[in-house]
Amino acid sequence: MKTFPFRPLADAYLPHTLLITRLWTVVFAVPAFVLSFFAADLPWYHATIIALSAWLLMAVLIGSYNKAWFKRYSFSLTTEGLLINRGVFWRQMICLPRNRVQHIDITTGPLERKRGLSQLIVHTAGTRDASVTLHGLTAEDAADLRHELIITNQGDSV
Amino acid sequence: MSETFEPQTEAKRLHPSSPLFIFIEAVKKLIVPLVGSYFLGGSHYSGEWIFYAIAILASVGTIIQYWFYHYWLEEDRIVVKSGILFKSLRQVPYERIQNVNIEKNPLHKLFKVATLQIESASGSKPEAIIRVINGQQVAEIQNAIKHAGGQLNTTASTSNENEPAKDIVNPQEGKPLLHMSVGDVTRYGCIHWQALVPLAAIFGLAMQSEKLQHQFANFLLGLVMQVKNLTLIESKVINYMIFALMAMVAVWLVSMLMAHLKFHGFKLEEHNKKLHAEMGLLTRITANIPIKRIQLLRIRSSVLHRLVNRHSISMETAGGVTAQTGIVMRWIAPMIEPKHVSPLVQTIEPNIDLSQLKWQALSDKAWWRLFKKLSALIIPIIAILSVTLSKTFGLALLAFPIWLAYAKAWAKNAQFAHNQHLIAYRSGVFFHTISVVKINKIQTIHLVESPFDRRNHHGQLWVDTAGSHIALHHISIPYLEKPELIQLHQKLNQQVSDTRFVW
Repeated sequence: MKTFPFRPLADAYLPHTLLITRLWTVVFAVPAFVLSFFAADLPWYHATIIALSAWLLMAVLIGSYNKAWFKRYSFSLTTEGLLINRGVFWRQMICLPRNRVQHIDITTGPLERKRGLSQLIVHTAGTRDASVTLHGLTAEDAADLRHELIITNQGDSV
Repeated sequence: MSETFEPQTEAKRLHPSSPLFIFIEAVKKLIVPLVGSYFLGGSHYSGEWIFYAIAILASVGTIIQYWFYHYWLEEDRIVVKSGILFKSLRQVPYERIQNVNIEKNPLHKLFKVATLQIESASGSKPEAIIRVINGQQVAEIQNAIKHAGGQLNTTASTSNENEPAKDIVNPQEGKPLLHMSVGDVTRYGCIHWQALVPLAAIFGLAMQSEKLQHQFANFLLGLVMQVKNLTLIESKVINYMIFALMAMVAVWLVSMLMAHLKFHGFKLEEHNKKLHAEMGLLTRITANIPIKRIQLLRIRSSVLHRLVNRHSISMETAGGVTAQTGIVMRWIAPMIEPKHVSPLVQTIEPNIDLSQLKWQALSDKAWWRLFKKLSALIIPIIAILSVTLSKTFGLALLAFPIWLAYAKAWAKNAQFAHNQHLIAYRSGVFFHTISVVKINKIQTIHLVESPFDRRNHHGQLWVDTAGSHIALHHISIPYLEKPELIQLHQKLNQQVSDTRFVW
């Protein structure tokens, strides 16, 4: 039975989340522009500067949260099962025993594929934890982990 | 799939009276809302033809449904084929069947038939609803399932050493585990106020009509007309008081009636490791649940329960069937004397001995943390009220001993217990509840630390089970001291991975 101590997520995952954060925080620029240009009647270049700084501010704020989140995230595999440590303000340790795994999915998005990343989704028979997602694994790690969890589980239930 | 199925046995059909029952079911779902809007809408529809059209369509539909509904009792599975446009063929192995519910209302009794609902572990709908078949067919199906279940149990007991094999005949077997008396059913009705929502809805709808509104106002006026020398305010107050009293009595009486309709003659038996419950006054419902399917046991004693000196025991099972999609059986004992709780639970689950549990308290600081939390919740509300409405609301701050006392009482009541078979958590001041989960039913274990927890070196532990209701009381133990918590977490982790989860 393979085990490993707590380890962080794949390094490539942090740039990936930061990129995604930079992309979606554009939504903050839109209301900032609308408010300053149409409602407050500022000239267009001022409005553009305000909108861009709103975007920058949110991207930096959420980006630093992402960094903290990435730093806090670790997981390990013990003889009992998968342990996941995560959360910035509300920290939690999830313990997922090997023999409670029902099935496992690996999903890879287009941006993740470029960086060779995958997400491992472990399904259990539980309610709130019907699926537990392990983000930011390298594709090989995800495949290994899935193999390991499924193999040991089968051995146990026969 | 329908091509590959070759029946080995003779196809069985529904009872000839079933179009009637299917029709009634369709009427319940479709026409009741329409009729309601018709009578209460005030203005009238241009014609009643809609009703006739729906009635005709529904009756044709029911006959078609009846005509194309077949089922087979194969050696190892039940196969149900239905539908003409949307054909469905469903095969359910007997050993996958978790629950067989039987419904018999007075109309069923007239035709000597019953509605059967078959449930498996998955899905939010029953696997099959067989509406309706005669008593002999019901017995056939039950027999087939019982037979398969018996085989399954013998194989399960050899492979699973955690559950002691109950080869010795249980002395309780055959004798009901629980029989609710008329008094207990009445008590249930008294404290559950089930009629409140429906009566309020009916009243609200009735008041939509102006004619009824006037009649009601006159009726209220008439009550105090005889009494002279009253000022307007006095008579108004008396009016409202009389109305409130009448409403209360009405709700109470209807609740009792509803309780009797639902639970009259509630009987719980154990056969072959399955719980068998029977209940109902006019509509008799029979439900069967394998004991190993119980994921969580919940024992409640609210303030009202304590008034009548009773507890209640309910359970969570893993199936996803809700009250909207079928019959749900969640009661082990709707009303039971406190002294019988522990013996009954132990008869059902031999490893759960509530009387021997060693309850452990939460952190000593739990009451203080809860008090701070409540204050953080209440003080802003008071502040907003006193600023926006009237400064006198500020005096409400003087009521802090009330929530202080609540926090103290809560912390005193909240306890957890843990041993080799189970983990249990009890909490609540007004609604005192105990949740019990067996180790082998635990799916995942969470250890949570909020920023406030970290400052106090506390943490929270919760466990996830199958089919749990998030809104209801469950195993979620807050304000635990960190070292104790980590120890508990490791122990649980170890225990859970040593036991196998059986559906």
